[in-house]
Amino acid sequence: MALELLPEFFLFLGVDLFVALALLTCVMEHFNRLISYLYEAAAVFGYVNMFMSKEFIGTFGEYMRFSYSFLFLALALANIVGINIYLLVSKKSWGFAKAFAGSVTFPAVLISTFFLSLYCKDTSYVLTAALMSGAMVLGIGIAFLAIPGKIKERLEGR
Amino acid sequence: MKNRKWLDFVAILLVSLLVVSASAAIYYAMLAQSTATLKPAAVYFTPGLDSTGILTLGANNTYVSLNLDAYPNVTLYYDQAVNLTATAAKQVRLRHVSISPIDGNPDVSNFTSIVFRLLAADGTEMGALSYTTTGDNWNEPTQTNYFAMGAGAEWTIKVEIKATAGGNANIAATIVIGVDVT
Repeated sequence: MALELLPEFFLFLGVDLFVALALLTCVMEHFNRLISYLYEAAAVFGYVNMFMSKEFIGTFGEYMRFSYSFLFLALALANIVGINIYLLVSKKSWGFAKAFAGSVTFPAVLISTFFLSLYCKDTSYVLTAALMSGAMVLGIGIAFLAIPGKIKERLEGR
Repeated sequence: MKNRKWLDFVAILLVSLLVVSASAAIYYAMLAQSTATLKPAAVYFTPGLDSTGILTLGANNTYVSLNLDAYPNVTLYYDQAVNLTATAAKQVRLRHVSISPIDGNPDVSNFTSIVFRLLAADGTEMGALSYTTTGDNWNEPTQTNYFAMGAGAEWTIKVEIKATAGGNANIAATIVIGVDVT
């Protein structure tokens, strides 16, 4: 009998993506060294989340487990896309951004979409995933637009 | 500066390996974890038209006791001794479990036959467990085939009992049969 995916698979995928981001940002010259540790901390947070999910598996419903697992994955994907945009816009490193998009961003989004399509047996799960992705994009957009000019300048100055 | 970068990389790599393998171990443990949820039985017993005075339903209608009569040289029919009701589409069968008095007991020869017939809602016989006697021994059935029972269907178990001519009064036989549901 084929094993069905558990909702925590998306958490696991998110942890993997954050770990990959931590290693990549550590190797690349464009980032402050603290960024790598921040991503590593996010990966550890994902692990703790997974541990909590296991401990409370009887209490949390499947829908809730899917919601927070997918949220974590969406966060990881948003960070990957964010780094891609950062390389392109702030660092004006077109070659790096292209390579990053081809080797990290596109595969990560493709793999996540593939497993999401495997898992989603109910329309409500698809809607939840779409809602979270939409909220994430909206949040990032608002953050970019609403960020005060002085902070923006300082960030760009770095 | 370069050494510091390498130290950072090695530290992050080690922590990453630890986090990924620990997460994988937790995910694997969750796959192996099983939960058992209590649910009402999908197929359960309900009283039939002939159940009055003979039927005792057990807790949750998953067990039933029938107190049936038998007359010498007469076949007594209980057309609807007990009914089976399904809340979901299931496969059911009747299966012999035990009978007493056991083979070799002279009381056995007082009975001619005891037949349990599984009838669908339209009266079609799906299968039967037929207990007959040869001298002091029972000829016991094993089980019927499995039959598909639709959700909401109500089937019945018909019982036919016949005792021998000149059979003694107050001889009782206890038969335990199981209704297997898959």
